[in-house]
Amino acid sequence: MSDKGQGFSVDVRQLEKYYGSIYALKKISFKVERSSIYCLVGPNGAGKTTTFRILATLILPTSGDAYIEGYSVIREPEAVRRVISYLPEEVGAYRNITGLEYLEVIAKIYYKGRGFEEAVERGIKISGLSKKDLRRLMKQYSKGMKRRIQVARALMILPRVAILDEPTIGLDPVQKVELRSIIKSYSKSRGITVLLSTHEMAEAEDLCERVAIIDRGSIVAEGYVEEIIRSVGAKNLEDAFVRLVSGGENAKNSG
Amino acid sequence: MLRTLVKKEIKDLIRDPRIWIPVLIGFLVLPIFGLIQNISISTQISQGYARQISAQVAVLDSQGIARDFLEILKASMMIYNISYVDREDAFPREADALIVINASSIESLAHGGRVETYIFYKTELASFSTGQGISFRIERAIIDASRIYVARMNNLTTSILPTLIYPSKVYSIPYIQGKNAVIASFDANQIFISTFIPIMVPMIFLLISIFILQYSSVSMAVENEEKTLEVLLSMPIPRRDIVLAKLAASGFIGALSLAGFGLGLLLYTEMLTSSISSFKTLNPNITQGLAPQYIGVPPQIIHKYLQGVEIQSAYDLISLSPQTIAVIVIYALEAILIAGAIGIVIGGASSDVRMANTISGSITPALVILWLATGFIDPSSLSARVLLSNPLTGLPFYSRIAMLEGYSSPDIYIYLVISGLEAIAITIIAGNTLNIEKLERLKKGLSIFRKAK
Repeated sequence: MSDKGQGFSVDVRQLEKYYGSIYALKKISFKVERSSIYCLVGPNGAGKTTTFRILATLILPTSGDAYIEGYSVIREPEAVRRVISYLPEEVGAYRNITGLEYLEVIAKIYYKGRGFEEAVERGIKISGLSKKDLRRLMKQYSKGMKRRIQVARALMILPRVAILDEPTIGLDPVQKVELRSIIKSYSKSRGITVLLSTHEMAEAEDLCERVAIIDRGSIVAEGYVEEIIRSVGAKNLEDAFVRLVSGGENAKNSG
Repeated sequence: MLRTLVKKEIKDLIRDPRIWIPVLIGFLVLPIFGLIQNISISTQISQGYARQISAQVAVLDSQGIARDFLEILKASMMIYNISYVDREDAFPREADALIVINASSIESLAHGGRVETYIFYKTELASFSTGQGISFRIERAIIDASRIYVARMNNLTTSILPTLIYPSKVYSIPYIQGKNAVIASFDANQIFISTFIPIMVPMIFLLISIFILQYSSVSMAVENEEKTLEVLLSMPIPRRDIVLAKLAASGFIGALSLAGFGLGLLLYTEMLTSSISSFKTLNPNITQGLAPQYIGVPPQIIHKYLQGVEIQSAYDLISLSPQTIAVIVIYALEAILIAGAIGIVIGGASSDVRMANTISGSITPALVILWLATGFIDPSSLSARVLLSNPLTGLPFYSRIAMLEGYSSPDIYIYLVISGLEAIAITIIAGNTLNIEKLERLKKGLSIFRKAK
């Protein structure tokens, strides 16, 4: 294990990413404390998904590095993959296998023996799907059901770091509340560090201890939710976000 | 109303750049095939047609009466190096063909009979190749000689020659050098099966390879479409296992397809041969007419002039040695590997199933055309070496020439090794493309074929 990033579950250092001539990430840095929930909020195309994909070892940064549980995403991707679990924003499902079969496949990748049974049980519980639904092919699932199965998949293996890109997207309000409470309780009781992105400021306020507001590849504000609200003199996080991001220019001019 | 709809449909289709993929593949791939075949065919022409044919002629119960006919035949510009044999002999090693003429039938020419001739032509290839070219030229020479003979006997002018309908009865019998055997089957079913199976079996191998390519490309494209690949790649699973799992699954489904095809082929053959059998019982002459070049060659002629040469039934052609079967099995495994791996690359580069199907679908006719072309390719030619060095073309081509010609060159092991290395290389490439960034670059490259608007 590398000595870098000690004390923090995630340590992002000067991450930079170019896609050809597009400058997607401009040397961003942030740290996430162990067992905490950290949110990346920002408009579409701000660089949230690029950051997550680098942390999930799917793409390489142009420069900079990131450490997850002390492992470098560049030099030790295999070690990183063992401690993370990644939920992409628009992930679907294998159409012709059942929800239960899917959870079992995932459990088998990570566990043997009794651990396997327990993981599947956890998965079933997190998904909140009925036994009948779990035995149906996933092509019959609604968008919300697919999302719940995917969140269950991400959390059932009890990763040290869960990287969740818009976990509540496509869910109805009741399901959103349910899922947030699951994420919270898993983070607290199992000591899972959660790094998530969201569009919804209410969600960020409800879930996250610390927040990074990201816009056009740069972090424009970072800190505890209350700190950020106070620093820009906003009413709430949504207001702060509008002032800091795209609308920020107008807000400055008018104010 | 209809016109408006048709217009709309055409516009919608023609503005979808994906429809140009098959056009482009056809446009680019076919000239390459053309080049490969061009080399092969021109080699064959130079070998088969521009070359002198040396034939030995044996006249059964040779008497003076045959001499005139033979002189006419010899004067023909089509056959060179004619020499006579009237003794018992094996197939003359140095000759391209042995012509056996029934002398009493030459006599019958004068009274409206037909010259009975057996042409044993040397071939390595029971296809549209050199051997048949030789046989064809000898046949023409004999027909011409017979016409001239008839015209002379009846004091007719030579201008009438083309109107004399075939005063010859010519049987062409392939002498297969690799097997030291002539094929002289007298059973219509055998002839049917032996000509049918060597075409169908390689065709099925080819189709199964294409299916496997499609299965694996669809499987990858679905991963892309549903974004499940990202999940898979973020898990602690070796890339190699992901590729091998896809290959194994596509190979398994491919084997199931093969079983289905095999059973279907058996039933199909059974149905067709039973219809031929019932036909034969009704009228043996009709079935004789089906393939006259193989039927009616008296075994005593073969025994007399081709001592030491085996007479094989057409069934023997399609029975394979364990060694040949082993080669086919290795080729098949290589074909599964390479087809699956190509499919993974195609599917990985395709953002959706439709794109993957468009690409793999348009490869299909190209491969089928290439397969049809193998009928013209001599196994010793450069083109054949190219085809045998790739599992996708090597599998159907080898299974065909092994059945038809008893192809047994030890070079096959070199081709197997080259094919195997290719399959492994493509599999490694497929494993390396299991990388979100590389796949996105490939997708971007293909995105020029996606709808612009």
